[in-house]
Amino acid sequence: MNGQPPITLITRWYGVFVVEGERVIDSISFPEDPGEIAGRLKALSEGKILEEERELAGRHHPVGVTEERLTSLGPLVETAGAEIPPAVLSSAPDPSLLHQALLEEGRERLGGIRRDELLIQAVSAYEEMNRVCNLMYERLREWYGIHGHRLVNRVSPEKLAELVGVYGSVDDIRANTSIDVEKTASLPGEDLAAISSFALTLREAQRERERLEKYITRLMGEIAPNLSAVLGPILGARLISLAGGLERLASMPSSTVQVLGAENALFLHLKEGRRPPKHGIIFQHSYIHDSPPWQRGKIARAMAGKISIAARVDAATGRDISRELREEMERRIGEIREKYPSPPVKPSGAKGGKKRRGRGKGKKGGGKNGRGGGGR
Amino acid sequence: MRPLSVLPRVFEDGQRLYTLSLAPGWSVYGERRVSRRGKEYRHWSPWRSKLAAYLTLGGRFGGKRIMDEGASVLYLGAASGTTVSHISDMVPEGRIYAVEFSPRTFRGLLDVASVRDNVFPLMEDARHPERYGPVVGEADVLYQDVSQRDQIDILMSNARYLRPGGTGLLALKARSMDISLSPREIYQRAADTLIEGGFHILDHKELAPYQKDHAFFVIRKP
Repeated sequence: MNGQPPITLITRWYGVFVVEGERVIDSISFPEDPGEIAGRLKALSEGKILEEERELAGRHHPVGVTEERLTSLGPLVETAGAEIPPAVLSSAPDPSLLHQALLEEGRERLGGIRRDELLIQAVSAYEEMNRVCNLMYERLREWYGIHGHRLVNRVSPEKLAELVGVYGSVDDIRANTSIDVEKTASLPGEDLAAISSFALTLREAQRERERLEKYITRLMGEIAPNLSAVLGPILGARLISLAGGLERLASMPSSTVQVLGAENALFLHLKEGRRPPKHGIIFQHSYIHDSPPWQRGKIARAMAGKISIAARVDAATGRDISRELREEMERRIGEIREKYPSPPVKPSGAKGGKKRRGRGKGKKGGGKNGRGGGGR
Repeated sequence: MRPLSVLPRVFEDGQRLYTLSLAPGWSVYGERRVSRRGKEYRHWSPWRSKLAAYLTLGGRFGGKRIMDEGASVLYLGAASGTTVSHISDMVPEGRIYAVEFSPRTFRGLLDVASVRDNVFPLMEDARHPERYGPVVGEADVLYQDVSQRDQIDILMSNARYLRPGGTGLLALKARSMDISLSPREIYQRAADTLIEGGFHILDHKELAPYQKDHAFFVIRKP
């Protein structure tokens, strides 16, 4: 072997070649059919070894290979690059064959739709419906308020849309329901009809929002039951959407998960040395936003940890460990609430110095730059 | 319409850039088409394509004609195929291997490829060039626009498919690399890494106002 020009195995999209120097000493061509070629390209892309490669490597025993993928067949002589012997290049069939094969292969790859892609679309649709409902409800309050101001503040948004949509005038509402309010000012039928029609559309939008919520809840139960249990289905879905998929969420460190959705604040921290964000979108969970400010960072950190575990289990196994996760999380949050019942005393901190970090003013002796390392 | 000397089938009319269409009658992304003497030209907007932005800002690859109509181009970060379609116009006898990993944009790329025989779509991760090696082989031009943190490493590992003397065109997005550094510093570091990696830098330009915090590098593999 030594001194001799080594023989190497070269794979192209149309066949496998055994090459000695510039000479092709053996080869197997792939069938000239787009489907056959597409299948082999898929295998190559997945890092598999083709039958043809195995066969030629068997025939020419010590054969050098030019790709990592093939190192089980022989020693890696050099990494495949642009240098392909002309004899190999000249045996290429018409490129339209490759074109066909790649189109086929591309379509097939797009065919495998991931469930979380549907989830991401659905949760975006939900958020949009939410905005639409709020906007239309605001308008309905003002508009209907001209006629029946009292009613507007007495019932829920859904009820208001329904009553106005179905009955229209305050008189008709009073006549048909047990709701008893007086009207503010009379309006001609034509004007009431316009408001009423708008209210019906709002009611339908609210129903769509409910349907989407149910759909998302169902989908989350299917693809991410643990995350759904820890964070709730909607918030969990939004987190998946922000991360760009369940896989990606699962592969993020939980410190990233903690601040997902607070990218602006995070970048200001990194760029300009402002204080780091304590929480991103998970702030919307009641555990955080209903807690006093000084507990929020700690709770966010604890939650992010559990969220990461939940997402990883969901992505990897689909096993349901939601009970344990929830219990552990609640226990930890209980601990935090018990341990830090009152706001931390500002600087001068003589007593609890070891627990309070971040500001670090007392220790650094008046250094005004005590905010940079506040993350820990 | 005057032809541009540094690229095949690219024209300017004093204001705008055009490519001579390979697939007359089709707009790829809603671009305007104009007919002159029986030929159809597609408007190539610097706002939509970084290569067009580079040319509009006066970039001419250091005066070198970097490809001809038979060139083979490896294009990383093909997205929906906007710039790809214009390069496809340039190389009727050549090929453009268009690598794009995101399924969402790959859909558009597939549409472009299905009406253009010289576009070869690859839904692959440019971080793993070995996965498309058997398809690509040797390229005259390596075009890269991937907006990833490790975009320089991606370029280096794909350069194995660039023939010696071939040209690399690199659209560098500073924001993707390190937001804590200024774009200038990032460009400088990128240039240093490229030179260390053995490339010659023929030209570079910042793409403002067409793109924010982007630079375009023209490099040559020795």
